[in-house]
Order: sequence, then structure tokens, then C-alpha cells
Amino acid sequence: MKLTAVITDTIRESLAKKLFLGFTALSLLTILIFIFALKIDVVEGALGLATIFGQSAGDTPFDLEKFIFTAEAAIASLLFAGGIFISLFATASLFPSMQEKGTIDLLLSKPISRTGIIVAKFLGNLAIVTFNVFFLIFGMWLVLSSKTGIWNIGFLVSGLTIIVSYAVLLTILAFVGILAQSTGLSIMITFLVAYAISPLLLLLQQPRVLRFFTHQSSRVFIKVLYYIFPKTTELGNLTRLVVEGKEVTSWMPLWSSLLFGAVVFGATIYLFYRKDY
Amino acid sequence: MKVIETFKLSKTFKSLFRKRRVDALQQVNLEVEKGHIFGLIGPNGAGKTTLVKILLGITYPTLGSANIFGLPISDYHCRQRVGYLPEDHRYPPYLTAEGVLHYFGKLSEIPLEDRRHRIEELLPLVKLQEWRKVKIKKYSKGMMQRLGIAQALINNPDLLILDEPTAGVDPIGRREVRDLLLELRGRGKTIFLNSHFLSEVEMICDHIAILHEGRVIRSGPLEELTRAPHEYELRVSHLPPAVEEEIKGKVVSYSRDNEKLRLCTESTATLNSVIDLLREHKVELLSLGPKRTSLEELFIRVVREGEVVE
Repeated sequence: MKLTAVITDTIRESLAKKLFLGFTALSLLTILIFIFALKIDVVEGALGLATIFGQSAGDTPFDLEKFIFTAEAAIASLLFAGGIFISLFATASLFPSMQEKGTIDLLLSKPISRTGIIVAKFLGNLAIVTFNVFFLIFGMWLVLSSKTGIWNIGFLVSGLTIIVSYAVLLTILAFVGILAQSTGLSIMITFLVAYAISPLLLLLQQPRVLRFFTHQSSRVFIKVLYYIFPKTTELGNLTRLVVEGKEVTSWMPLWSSLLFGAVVFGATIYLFYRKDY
Repeated sequence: MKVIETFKLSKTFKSLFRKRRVDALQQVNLEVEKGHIFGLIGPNGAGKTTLVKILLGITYPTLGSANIFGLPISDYHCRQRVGYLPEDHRYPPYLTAEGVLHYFGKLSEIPLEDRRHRIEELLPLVKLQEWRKVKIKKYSKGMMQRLGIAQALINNPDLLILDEPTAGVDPIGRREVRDLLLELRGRGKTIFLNSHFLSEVEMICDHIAILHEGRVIRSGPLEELTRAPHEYELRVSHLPPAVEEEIKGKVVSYSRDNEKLRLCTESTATLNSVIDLLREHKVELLSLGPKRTSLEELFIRVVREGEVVE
């Protein structure tokens, strides 16, 4: 009951910020557009005519499955980049605000463990983002699949990779939020890792770039950093591959990012457990 | 039964980059018995809030230990029967009074039905019944304080820890809070009060501790602590001048206000000899009692002296 209370309160706090409601409203609008404005005529398994707002998508019939997979991959990629960005931005203040004088005193004075508080706060945060992501993905999947008869499970699975990627970045947000109690710094560090360090390490670790580093130790150092940090760019590519039904050659970006998240979250729990307020 | 016990509780704050260290608490030993209203007083920065925070697991002690209801404070279960009102309390602004009480009730693991009953009891008690559905961001400071008291009572606690409970409350509200605390003591609850209002502490507390620079410099029953040693007040009828002069010769200090005499003697034996003298001269003794100092006088005196008296 105690954990549920913190989870529910975190969801309420997120909803009070209105950003998630806006996100849900935008998702609903997108789904409605596809319901009412997209008209698809299927001729013998191929796209006969696709119109949106009455405008034709083209005269030449082409592979319907490819069209749907591409559309779904575009939505998933957009959600991966934009959705995660907005979600991180919207939830960045949750951990610092929890530690404000008068709020944290009341929370810690209750018969609930510090580990419980941080886990519940994390889960509450994750729950609202999961709802938002799956609301759009499931809605779009249902609309596109029912209109075309192509039920692409990969599109639904992409929701999981998006959530996992968000969860990994959320651990950084939580760690910096607990450590520095600053929303601004939490956002800065998390965005730095997600949108600068991760792509940079991906670039640097490639053999054609790595050979420019003369010292072996520098090359090892870059490789180690690459394996340690979460791999947002590759997780984005992985999400697209899953939707398009293409073979995923390596799941390493996923499990190594998850490992990073687990370690950072463990450190966050330890930090919160030891902290004086 | 001891509700709170602390054993050489110490807290040192060290800054990360500076070498400065602050000993907020130094070997604090305290005992709070069941059913008492215990007042913790001290000047600003004495360590009162640090002590309260340590007891509630908000801050960790550097050395020493403490128990609540016999359980170590490191065990969060000891807070199951504790209600707490911090000095600066903040509640989620998007909640109503009812929502706040449900939230904190859930955190104390109170089942829904019990919570509903408790909220029905508490909202009229703190005069927020008509505001129950209004979001608390619209509340005044006094209303927030009253909501805070309701929040502290939501789990029907056996120990209530209150940090400046009447701050921002008007005189009538303060009186109501005092009456409520006395009523709770009557029901066997223990109250640990941290307050700057010495007159308030004097009115309701039966035991106090004075904290100064992190050390407990006085503690014990209020009545004992405010009793001036070897100072007495006597009421007598018709004191002949010769007897008065003789009394003056026996005592350390003497003052008179009509039939009321204030004496300071070196010992109880001197007081007895004064009584014998009055009897010998057939002076009627109407009343006799130890002179009491006000808590404020005691506080200022002991803080100035600053020495620890066990």
C-alpha cells in the first residue's frame, strides 16, 4: 500500500504538470487523424490507393507491407527521439522536488524504507511514460493494422525498446537529481549522455576512426567507455529494425545499456539511503 | 514506559570542500516517558530540529543511538505509531485536504475504511471540513498548519512529534492547538514539542529539555526546574516591625509586598527558624511555598550560564 501511494502520487504529480496530458492529447489527435483521414484501398495485397485528407499518396501501386512497416518505423523513430526527449524533460523535476525541505521530511518520517521510496518514485515515473508510449503505439497499431490487415507485432515490441531506453536514461536523471537536487543539472547531464556522449562514443569506437588514436591505451579507454555508457543511437536503430521486421544482428546495445541502468539505479538507491536531509 | 530514549546522540556536519565542522549535537541523552508532553527548547541553532530529524530517520547520527518505542531509529517500523509535523511542511499542491490525508494515511498503511473514518474525525477537528474538496494551493498559512496537524494525527499516533505547531496560527487557533494537545495527553498519547513559544511550553509541557550548542544543559520535570532553590514565598497576617527586622537578619535576601514575603535562605534550616520565629510571635502563616521562576527566566539564565547540569 505504501509503495502504491508513492507510485500514485508520482503519477498525479506528473499529470499536474500538464505536459503528459498534452502528450496524450497529441497522441489521440494523431490516432484520430489516421482513423478519419487515411483511406487505404488494398488490391490483391498491394496498396491500390492511399489518400490522406483526400490527397493521393501516388498512382503507382507498391508493396503494402513495406508501406505499413515504413510508416510504423517512422512513428516508432519519432517516438524514440521526441517522446523520450519530452518525457525526460517532463519528469526531470520529480526527484529534486521530492527532496525539497518539508516534502522529504514528511516522506521519510513515515514507516517506509528509503529504497521503497526511490523504487516507487521510479516506477511511478516509468508507468506514466509507458502509458503514453503505448497509448500512441497501440492506437496506431490498431488503426493501421485494421485498415490494412497487416498486424505487425514488431511495432508493439518497439514500445518495449523505447521504454527500456527511457528507463535507462531515467536512472541518470534520478542519480543526478538525488545527488545535486537540481532539475537543470539533471536534464543537462542526461541529455549530454543521451545525445552527445553516446553518439560520440559510437563514432569513436569504429575501427576507421579508432585507428587515428596512436596509443593502445587510448583505444582501450574509448572501447571501455563505449561499452559502459548507454547506447541511445543504437537503441534507436534497434527499435527501427524491430518494427521493420529485419534481423537484429546484436542485442549488445540493449543489454549493456540495461546493465548501465541497473548499476546507476543501484548507486542512486545507495546515495539516497545514505543521504542526510 | 520510555517512548523515546537517546544514548550519547551526536551529530557533526562537515562540509565537503571546507574544513569547517559543526557539532550540531553532542552526546545527547534524553528520555521521554509515555503520556508526557515533553518540550524541547533552545536558542536558534541549538540543534533542536537536528535532534527531531535524527529521531525520525531524516538525518543520521554521527555517533550514539536512539530508540522509539524500544525499536532502534534505524528501523523504519518504529515510525508506524509516530505522527510528525515539521516546521516547514509542504504538501502536494495538486491535492485537496482529503487527498493529502488519504496520501499520508496510505503511507502509514491505514486501510481505506479506517482512513475514511479518521478523515471524518479530523477535518472538523482542524476546522477544514468545508475546505475538504478545495485544492490546498488555495489555503492560507493557518489552514496549512491546521492541515499539518491533521496529517500528523491521521495514523492515530501514540507519539506526536511537533516542530513549531502554532507557527502562523492566530491566538485563538493557538489556544485550540494547546487544548487539543492536552486532550491527546489525556488519552495517553506522548507529545514531543519543539517550540520557540516559551509561554506555550510552560502552559502545556510537564517535562522539558533545554538544548544549547548541541548539548542538553537542563532536563527534567518543568515544576522542578522552575523551582528557585531556597527561595520561598510566605503570606502572613500582621508582621510586627521587630520580627521583620529579625527575619531580615536571618536570610540572604528579603522583600515584602503587603502580606507577601519573599525570602532567599541559605538552607531549609534557616527557613524553619524563620517559621519558628513567626510562631513564637503569634504571626499567622497564611501560606508557604517555593518561589517559582518563569520558564523564560530559567531559559535565559541557563543559556547564559551554558553549563550542563545533570
